[in-house]
Amino acid sequence: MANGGNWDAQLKKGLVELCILAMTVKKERYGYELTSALSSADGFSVPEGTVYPVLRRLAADGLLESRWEESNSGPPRKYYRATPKGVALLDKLISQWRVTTIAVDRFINGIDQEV
Amino acid sequence: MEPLSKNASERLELYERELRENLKGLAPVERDEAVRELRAHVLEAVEAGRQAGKSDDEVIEHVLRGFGNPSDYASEYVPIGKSEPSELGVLDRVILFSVKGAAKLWVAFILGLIYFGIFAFAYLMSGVGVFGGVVTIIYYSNLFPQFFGSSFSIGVPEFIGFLLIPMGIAGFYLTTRLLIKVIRFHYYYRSSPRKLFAYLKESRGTKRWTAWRIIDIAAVLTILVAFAIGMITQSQFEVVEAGEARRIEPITKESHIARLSAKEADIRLKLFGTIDINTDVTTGSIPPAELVKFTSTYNYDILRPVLEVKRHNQKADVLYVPRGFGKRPGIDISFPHSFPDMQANALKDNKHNILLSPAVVWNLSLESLGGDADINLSGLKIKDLNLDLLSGDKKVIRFSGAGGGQGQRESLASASIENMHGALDIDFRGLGNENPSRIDIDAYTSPLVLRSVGDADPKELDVNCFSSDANIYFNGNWSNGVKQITLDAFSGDMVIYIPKDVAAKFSIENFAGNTELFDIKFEGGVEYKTPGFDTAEKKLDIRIKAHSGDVRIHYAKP
Repeated sequence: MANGGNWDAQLKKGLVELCILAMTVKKERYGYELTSALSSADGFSVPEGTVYPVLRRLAADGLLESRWEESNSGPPRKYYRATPKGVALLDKLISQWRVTTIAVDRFINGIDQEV
Repeated sequence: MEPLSKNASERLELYERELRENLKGLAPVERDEAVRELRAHVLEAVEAGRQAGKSDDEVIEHVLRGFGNPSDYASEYVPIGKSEPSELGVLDRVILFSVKGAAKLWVAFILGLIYFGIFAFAYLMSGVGVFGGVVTIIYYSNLFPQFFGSSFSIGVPEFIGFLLIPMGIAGFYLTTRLLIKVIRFHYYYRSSPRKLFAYLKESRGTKRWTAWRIIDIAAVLTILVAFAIGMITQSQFEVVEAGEARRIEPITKESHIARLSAKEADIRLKLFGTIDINTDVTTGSIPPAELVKFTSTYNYDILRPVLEVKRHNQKADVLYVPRGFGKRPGIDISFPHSFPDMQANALKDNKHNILLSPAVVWNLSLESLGGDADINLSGLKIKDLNLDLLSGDKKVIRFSGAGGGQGQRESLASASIENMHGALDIDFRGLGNENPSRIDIDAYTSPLVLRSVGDADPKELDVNCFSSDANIYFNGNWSNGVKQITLDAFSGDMVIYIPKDVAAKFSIENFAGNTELFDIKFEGGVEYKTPGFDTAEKKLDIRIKAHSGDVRIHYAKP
């Protein structure tokens, strides 16, 4: 690990997939909306350029489906929604995330106790 | 949405251009999609920025900084998808190339089948007997006289052919594009067919005008234009009524029938048996039962005239040959012959009495497979005459005689007469030809007699005899000028009669026979001019080549 900044970026990049799937399960969302939500989240801001390549990869893997729609007020929007395969993966990712955070918390808490 | 400021727009376009450059490893569709999505994102941000009171330049700068430089941003994309040039092996590329080519060939093949099917259907609908004899005519069926006036006649096949051109362009491109997309999808994703449908749906409207696409379209257009030009040049649009070329008139039964009867017509007859050709249907000497009866009606259901030909209530096969088949348009008529017709002894009883209208300029082509012939063309307007006479005992061709009618003929542009067996007697008397051109006569085994050749007044006369004896009378009304006469005899004798009012020059080659020129005998050939030839107004330049027969030349009796 070169430095803390790079680790932060790698961590977030991995979690972006989970976040995107989570945000598109119940509602269709377009790229700008997803990017704005992710980049403005407290403590979890990701660069704008991170989201679209991930969206493309998820779509290519059949985890998201997408469609373009013209907008009356602005530019056309490409909406994404999680596919059943995406929802299934999301469930798995959430489980792994929870298990992982618990395990990591244990380590962190242990360190705190030791310290 | 308000357009971007100039600076902001230029900045965005520059970024897009650089991004596109760095995304070259992606398929064009993917590349376009990434750039399109970037632009949508930036414009959303600008819109939000404007509402917050920020300038376009400020927002664009901020957003693009967030995306990073184009090459870094592109590197997030490229490793994900397969890169056509970098990741496909040589074999894959060869296969892809071959499959693309095969796809296009396949399309061309399928379109060819479709073309064939539609054309075959069109021809059947328009009555051309592609698959057998059909009794119909389409030549005069003008589909759109309202648009073109009465000056053009467009047949049904040509019209349908023109419709096929845009169909061909659309069909070719839609099918090839679809196939190539399927191939590309397979190479990039190797995913399920359901995804293929989504991929095709998403990749609509991303066509770009690359050099290859332009060359491709140009090649197909060239082929189709050549096809169209071929059809146009084959179509032989003809002026029907010169004075009314611009007049727009609706289709009426009368106008079509008038047009049919007013046109110059070709007729080709292929007959067995004895042949009489006459001009007057009221001739009492011909039993009505033996008349070949022509009936022309216009059928509005099928938009064409219908020609029916009968003999003894037996219907003939009538094949109308339209334009565009490398053959002169015209009417082919042949009677179905039963087995007895094929027996030589039965031919004499198999009579054809053919009556042609003197109001029509005919291009007459007659092939007689057997039997005698009495062909009286008196009073008929014959432009091109083509007679092919095979067996029989005696054939007589008259340009004058029974019906009279001297000088009624408009012109005889050319005549070609071929006789295989049976004496042939051609009498040109009274032909009164105004635009003579060329007459060819071939005689094979039986005697040939040509009478009053001067009345035909051809610029060129070419007579070939094999074993036939020939008697040629050059009497008649020759016009001024030099006429070229070529006579060739192999083993038959040739006797020539020259009128005294016409000057003649002879160049005679005779290999084994004797030559007798105005009662003077020569061995072999001779060159001779009649007195006053050089200053005469009417001259015959006669070249004779004989092999084993004799050649005799006499002055004709007045």
